[in-house]
Amino acid sequence: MNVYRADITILPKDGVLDIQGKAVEKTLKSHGYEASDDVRVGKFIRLNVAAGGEDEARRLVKAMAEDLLVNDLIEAYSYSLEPLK
Amino acid sequence: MRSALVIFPGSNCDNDVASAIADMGMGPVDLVWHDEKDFPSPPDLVMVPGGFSYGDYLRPGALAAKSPLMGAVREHAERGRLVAGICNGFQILTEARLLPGALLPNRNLRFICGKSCVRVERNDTPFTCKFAKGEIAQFPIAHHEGLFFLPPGELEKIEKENRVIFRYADPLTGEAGEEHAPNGALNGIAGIVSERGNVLGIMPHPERATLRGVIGGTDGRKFWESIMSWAENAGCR
Repeated sequence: MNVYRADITILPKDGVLDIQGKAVEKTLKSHGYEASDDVRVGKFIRLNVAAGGEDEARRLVKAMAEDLLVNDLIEAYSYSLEPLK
Repeated sequence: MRSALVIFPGSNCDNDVASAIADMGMGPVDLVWHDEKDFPSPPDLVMVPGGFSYGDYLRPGALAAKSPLMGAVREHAERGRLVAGICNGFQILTEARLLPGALLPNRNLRFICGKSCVRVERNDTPFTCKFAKGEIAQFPIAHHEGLFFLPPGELEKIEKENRVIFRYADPLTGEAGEEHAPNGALNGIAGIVSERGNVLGIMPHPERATLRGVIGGTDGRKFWESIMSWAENAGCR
């Protein structure tokens, strides 16, 4: 068994009202950061997963994301995986 | 009739619902902890009360939706029996996919607490059969994530299927819609039913408009009368 660290980023889907993102963007702009745009506020989840190999680890992370961590009606996610020594 | 009240860590409207059911003389209520696998006796009505189940961690209702007892709630719903989720209960039922949609943070990003008025869009459902169609009812609201959301195509679908049964409205004109929704809910949606009409989710609190002389307003009594009538007569249609 190997242990992998998964870093999962969850963001509101395109087309879903991201009211927090809008509020943060407005404040950034009003503080002179005119260059900022398309601000989104989401979540970051880090977890360790034990698996026989990287493929299995990816399957497990995907299953966890789709079963609980992400509501695919309103959120999209991406993740990265890193083996732990 | 017999009711079951599902209680999660962080539920805080369970006593309000139990008091309302007792005051209405609706018969026995089983208070059932979420860790149970099944109800102690088969209920006619399952109530999923409001509150902050699991502290709203991850997403409101997401962790509660995975509780062991939710399997029994799903079976109960699949048999066509009545389930009603109020406020966080609504959020839990959407996360459990027993109802479509999601409840996003209120448009003003504030916790809102106060009176709200809803228009009863249909009176041929188990939850509204004692109301008049188009009647305005006043129910309190108290939530941070109450903006009902569905992507455009799916929103049109539930509207077409007449599954919106409560819509935020102006009590003076009777007009309903998004501009009257204190939370910015799309199409002013305050309450919806499942495809078969036996599962309800509603953000406002009819149970807090039930006891006389508590916080003013008793429009919630018709909500319970509807359910009682439906359960006793196997439908009001």
